[in-house]
This record gives sequence, C-alpha cells and structure tokens, in this order.
Amino acid sequence: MSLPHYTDANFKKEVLDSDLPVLVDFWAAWCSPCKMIAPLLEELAKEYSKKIKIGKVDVEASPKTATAYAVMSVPTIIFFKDGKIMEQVVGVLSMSDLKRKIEANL
Amino acid sequence: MKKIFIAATKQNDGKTTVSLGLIFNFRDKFKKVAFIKPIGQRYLEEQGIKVDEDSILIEKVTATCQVRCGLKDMSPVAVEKGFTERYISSPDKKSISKQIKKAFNKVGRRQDLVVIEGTGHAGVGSVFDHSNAYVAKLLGSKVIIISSGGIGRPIDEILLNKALFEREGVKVLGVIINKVLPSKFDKINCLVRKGLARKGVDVLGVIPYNPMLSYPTVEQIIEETDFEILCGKESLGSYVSRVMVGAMKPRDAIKYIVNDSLLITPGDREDMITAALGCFRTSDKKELKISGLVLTGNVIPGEPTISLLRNSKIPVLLAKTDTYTAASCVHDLTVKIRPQDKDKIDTVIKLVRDNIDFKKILKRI
Repeated sequence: MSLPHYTDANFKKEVLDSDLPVLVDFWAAWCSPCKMIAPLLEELAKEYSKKIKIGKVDVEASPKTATAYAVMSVPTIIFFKDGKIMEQVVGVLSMSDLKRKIEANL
Repeated sequence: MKKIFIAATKQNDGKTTVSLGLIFNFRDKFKKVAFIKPIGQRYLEEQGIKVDEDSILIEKVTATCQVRCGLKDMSPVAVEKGFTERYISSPDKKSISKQIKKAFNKVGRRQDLVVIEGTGHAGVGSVFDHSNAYVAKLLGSKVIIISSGGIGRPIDEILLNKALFEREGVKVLGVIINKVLPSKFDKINCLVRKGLARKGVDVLGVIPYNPMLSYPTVEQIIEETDFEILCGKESLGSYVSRVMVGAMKPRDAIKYIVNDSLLITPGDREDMITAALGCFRTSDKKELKISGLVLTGNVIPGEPTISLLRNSKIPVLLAKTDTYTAASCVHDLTVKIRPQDKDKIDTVIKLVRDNIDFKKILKRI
C-alpha cells in the first residue's frame, strides 16, 4: 500500500483539518534515508489505519509546505493533531521508535 | 638583480600568500623571477630530498611563469627533527651560511628579481645563529614584514620584529597587514596606517581576510590526522567551511549544519548520521550540505547506515579517538595552499593585486 501524497494544495484539508491525528513524512526522491523509512510507514499505516492518518509530502514538489514547517533535512516526520504540531523528528527511526511515537501522539 | 625578503611577525601570517602574489603580479615588470626559502620548518620528501612545502608550492604553481630553479636550491636548509639539538651540541654557523649563500647564488643567477621567504618571526632560527634578520643581512636583502589582523597587536609585533632587523642593519621597506576582517577593514586600514606612520613605518598594503583560503579539503584533513577512509574516496577534494560536532538531538543539530560542513559524530549515532544525510542545500535540493563525516570512537555503524553512506558519495572517515579529540585535531590544522588548489591560488593573486602598492615596492627595492 503506497502512502497518500499531501501537497501544497491539499495540505490544509488533508492534514490541518483532519479529524484523526496525522503523521506526515517529509521526503525527497533523491534521499536514501527516506527510502529506508518508507516501507516501515506503509506497514504502520495499515496497522493504525483507524487511529492515525499517515501520508507524505515531497519537499521538492511542495516547497511552500516544507518551508512553512522549516524542513531542513529529510526525512522529517511531523505529528499533527487538531491542526497543531505535536512532535517533530528528523532522520531515520526504527520500527519500535516509530510505534512508540505514534502511540504517544494518538 | 633585485631582492626582497618576505618576513612575518609569526607563523601563518601569510608570507607564502604574499610571495606567490608578488611573483605573479611582478611578471610584467621582471622577465626572470626566482624564489628561495632559505630555512624551512615544514618539509616534504620530493625527488628524494627534504624540501620545504612552501617551496614546492611556488615551484609547481609558477611553472608557467619565469621562475626556474631547482627545488633543492629553493629550500637549502630543512629544520628537521633533532636539527637544533645537533646544532647546539656541535655548532657550525659557517656551514649553514655557506649552504644558504651557495643556494641563493644558484637560484639568483641571471635573474631580475629574487623573492626570499623567511620562516616564522624575525627571531626564528636564532637558536642555530640564523635568525630571519641574520639571513636577510647575509643575502643583502631589504625586508617587507607581514602581520595579520587587528590594530594594537600587529603594530606592537611589527615594531618588535623591525627592531631585530634593524639591529642586523637590514632595511625594512614597509609592512603588509594581512587577513583583515572585511567588517573591520576600513577602520583597521585607517588606524594601522596612522599608528605605524607615527613610528616611521610605511604600510605597503592591507589585505582583507578571505575565509576560503583557510578551508581545508577532506584530503588535507586525512593527511594531517590518522583518520581512516571508510568510503567516498571520489570526493576527497571537497572543501570544509565549518566543523560541527553532532552531539545534540538531530532536530536541533541540523540547525547548525551549513553548506560544506564536516560533521564529527560518534559512529553509533545513526540518528545523527541519517539526519545529516538528509540535510540539503536550499539552492540545490539534490546536493547535501555536509562535505564529509568523521565517525568517532572507532565505531562503524550497522550495514543499512553504511550502505546509505556509500550511496551518498560523501567522504566518511573513521577516527579511533573520542569526538572531542577528533574535533580538536581538525580544529588545530594548519591549512596551507597546495599546488592543486587552483581557485585558492587565483584568489591569492587577485587579493595581492588589488591590495598592495606595487609601485611603492618597485621604487624601494
């Protein structure tokens, strides 16, 4: 299952106005560490489908959103709840760390 | 034959920078220009002989102009390990003087100008009876003193060094103030000229500081340390503009990573390593901000991270020491311009051309 793509155009609707908490993975096609984390997030999206939305923002395709959240490194993962940032993590995380962070931000 | 002795108030004030700049910028005034560094303290093995590294730089860089001298004659005395101890036990002043004069005569034969580069401050070499002041006298040359930055300190040090040259009866033509911060340039330019004029010293030039000249390449860092290359050999020529220790959380650390940073972090900080591998330049998102990584503690990260590092193509070095020791080693490096640093050499030539009064020098030598 591939993750939904959030863009400058739909970020407000899909993320900020979402009823469920949202995990957003800011990534780039050239970024090797991003490729490490992608399959983990896809698996988690299935496991937590009822509790949290998980999607990604391509920093090159959606520069406004990346700049608005001061994304200086990819992957950057930001947890949103009720349109607010709950946590922001930079770099690759292990499956157990990702799960722990998701649970903490539900 | 004209001669000019380039002296300094201390090591790394920029004697070689000025010598190089003078040689290139005097090309249209003098048909044949030679170079000699009578006493060298940082030497390399070249063609089987110990030669000062500044002489090697000048010899290689000036191959296209009229500088034609043998390397051995350009660098007759190499102060190697044990040199001073041997001299104190069995001094032989005449032999060193003879060696220097012989090399100078060979280098200067049929030349229009010889640029003589000193070593350290005016008194360096006194321990074996060949201070810079004495060598300038021995070769019958007038002197230009280089000092770096500031206002009070360079004036104090210039006067101290000048006194030593004058005690040997050597004429000081004037001084050049090097590495002046651009933000303080106008103030220092005005005050130092005024302050030195009060003491009867003429300022021949004030050169602004260009940080690019002191950036090492990753290759130079390897040469000066015992770091081992893990991967990224193809990018060893990348410059390092800033050294950054990755000790914070990645989210905070990345705020301090600027373009061409060298990141020094423990080998087990895979979070920091992967975060740095995602730090992109705003101008070109495909290019990483870091120009290299030093992994400390002799710890090699796990295969997934190593594989990422290999793919990134940036040089990754392994240090056997802790992070503080590794960072201190890099911080303490003396960055010398090397023959292959074409952009640095071009910058030097331009800096000297734009900021030194050649007419004044020509009139006085």
